[in-house]
Amino acid sequence: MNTHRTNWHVDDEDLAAYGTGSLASVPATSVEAHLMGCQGCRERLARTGQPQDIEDAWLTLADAVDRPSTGPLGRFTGRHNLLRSSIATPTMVAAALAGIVLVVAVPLAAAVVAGDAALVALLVGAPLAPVAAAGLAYRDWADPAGEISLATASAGLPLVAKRAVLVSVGALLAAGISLLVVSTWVAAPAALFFSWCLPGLALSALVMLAGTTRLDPLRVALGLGLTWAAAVVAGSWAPRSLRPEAVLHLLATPALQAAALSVVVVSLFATVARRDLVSYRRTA
Amino acid sequence: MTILTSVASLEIDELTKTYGRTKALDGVSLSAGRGVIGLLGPNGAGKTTLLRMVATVLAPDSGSLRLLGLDPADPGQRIEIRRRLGYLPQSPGLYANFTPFDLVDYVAVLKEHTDRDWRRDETRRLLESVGLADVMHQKIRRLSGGMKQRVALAAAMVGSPDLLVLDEPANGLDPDQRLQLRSLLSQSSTVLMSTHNISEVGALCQSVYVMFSGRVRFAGTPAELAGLAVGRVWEDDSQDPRAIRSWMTATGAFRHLGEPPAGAQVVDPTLDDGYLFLARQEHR
Amino acid sequence: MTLDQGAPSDAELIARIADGDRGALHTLFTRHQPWLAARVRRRCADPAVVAEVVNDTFLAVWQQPTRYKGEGEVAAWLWGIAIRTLLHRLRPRKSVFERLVQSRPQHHPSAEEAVLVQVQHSDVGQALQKLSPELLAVVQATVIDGLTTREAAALLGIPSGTVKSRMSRARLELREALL
Repeated sequence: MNTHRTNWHVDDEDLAAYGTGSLASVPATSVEAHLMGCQGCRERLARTGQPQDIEDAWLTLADAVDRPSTGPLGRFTGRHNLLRSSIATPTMVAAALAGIVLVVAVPLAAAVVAGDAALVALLVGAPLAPVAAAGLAYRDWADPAGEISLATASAGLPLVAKRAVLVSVGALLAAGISLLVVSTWVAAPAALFFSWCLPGLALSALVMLAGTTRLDPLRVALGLGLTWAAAVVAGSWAPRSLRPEAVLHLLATPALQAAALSVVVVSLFATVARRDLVSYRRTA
Repeated sequence: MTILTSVASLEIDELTKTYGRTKALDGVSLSAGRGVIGLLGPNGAGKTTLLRMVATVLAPDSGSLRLLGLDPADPGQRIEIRRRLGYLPQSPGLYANFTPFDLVDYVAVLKEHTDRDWRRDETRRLLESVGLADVMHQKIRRLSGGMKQRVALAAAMVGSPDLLVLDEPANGLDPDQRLQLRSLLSQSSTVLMSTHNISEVGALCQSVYVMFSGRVRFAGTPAELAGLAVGRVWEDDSQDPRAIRSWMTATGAFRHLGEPPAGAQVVDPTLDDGYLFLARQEHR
Repeated sequence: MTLDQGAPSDAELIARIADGDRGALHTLFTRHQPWLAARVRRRCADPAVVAEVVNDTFLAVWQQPTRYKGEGEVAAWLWGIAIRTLLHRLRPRKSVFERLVQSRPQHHPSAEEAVLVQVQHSDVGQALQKLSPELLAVVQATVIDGLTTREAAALLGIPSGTVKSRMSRARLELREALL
């Protein structure tokens, strides 16, 4: 584009001299001012140099431009740490955030209705976070590359397990905090409030194990989740009120805790023993 | 990374797979060395199931596989196969918020390439080779179907795999891009690709396997496939009710497949003729 | 690829870059890198720094293409980024206040520049030639590059007061020479 309405253009000699830096100060300034508004002369200047120099400079720029894009969580999902980038995939991070919101928002909403309802909501929701995480981590769409990822050297139980852990940890921490808040208006010893941990882990361990069978782990997670929710609500139900403390006490009994622990241990051992079935699937 | 020419790249023996009542694969055997091998057949013939097995994504119910001389049932050998393999599934399911650059770089991460600069150079090279240099930093959700397919193709070719497994690779590609596909495929020593487009087989493949209902019905070169219909194709000025199939050609004459009547003008069969003849026999 | 007559304009290229078009960045680069590099080279002797400044300029274009508001020439906008990048290298630590104050309007071709286009062949050119090198440098920094006194001082490595006094002397001498 020519903003200068003039017929004067820089002559070839001056242009070449300007390009090599050997043009005197005042004429050079004049050339500069002209180039600012004259595309034709800019192109002519470009032609006085070596095209390879421009390409070399472009390659340097391209090295800075050609980077994986960083989303809003780019700093944390670390495109620099390749291990983190295959675990903290966008879908998994979104699932973790959703989990955190659920264990905070739902109890808060329930608390508005009735104080005890918050505790019931938490007792339902908190253990289900790792259950859902385990079910989701097995899915193809948990991986940005979908089915392609199944044919790579990284495919297998370690990746699935790490993703499940990532989502669970975030949600569980949030649930823990929520619980401490809720516990302020329920009369019961604090330790009781975490009696759901082992049962929750037991359920998630079962989902992880399901992934080594021909069962769909997400369906197993859904089934277990609904059963758990129904059991908690039923256990808390009393005529005209909710008594979640009853559920808490039941969960805290040594027998149940021991049973939950053994389910966790056995399931995890079995999952690791059968890990080859995660890497080389029997079902599409 | 060298493969002796006398060793077959793919040795597949009597693979079966049953889903509920359906037999997706009913005893498939295949033996192939280097080159492009085409898998031809209608939808539901079992091509995708077979490709998944060759890509080590799916384990067979029975039968054996030897890929690049290695056995995918053995965990250690399977990882080795996956290191030298590239897979393009039928519906890649790529994460829409990634850019092509993000995605190919990520697949390189999954393929255990730890050097960030190497990944950048390889990603660039691949995206340029599939003609996506200009859009490599635009989100996948904004790309056309053909472009998305090319992203998946680039991802499959990360690390220049010795064995490429492609499920309908030319899906969504225009004729110009299909031509480029040929030169891309020549980079891998063994390519197993499926298609339901007969002309692609003629253009790209050195050998072809035709599948119907989970079984291999033909194995040979494209010329041999065409040869099945030798003496069974004739041309005429009008429809012929005695023919198995008749259709009008571009010149306005009619082409017939079947038992030619005495004195008919028999012509050389094309690949389509051979395939149709085989399909007709299948449905008897 | 477009089928319209002729190559896309610079403004169109910027719009495409905002869209994530890497090819458009490449085209813009091949068009503008040569003159930009030559111009920076005249203000900075170190070739490594020149290369970095030019590189950073186009990187800034890639990362924030919407900073171009469609006013004035793209070339002028590019030069604005380049000269500020160069300045930043010389005075890397700026206070928040200075950075706020520094958000500059578009660099429009000024009356001085329009005159200086013809400088070589005119009386003004001869008059400028009679100025001493220090005065000429100050004139170039403030008039041609459109820098503020403070920025010119940073670029030339002299105090702001000196910039002001040299500018007044330059104006005096030019006026005398042209009378």
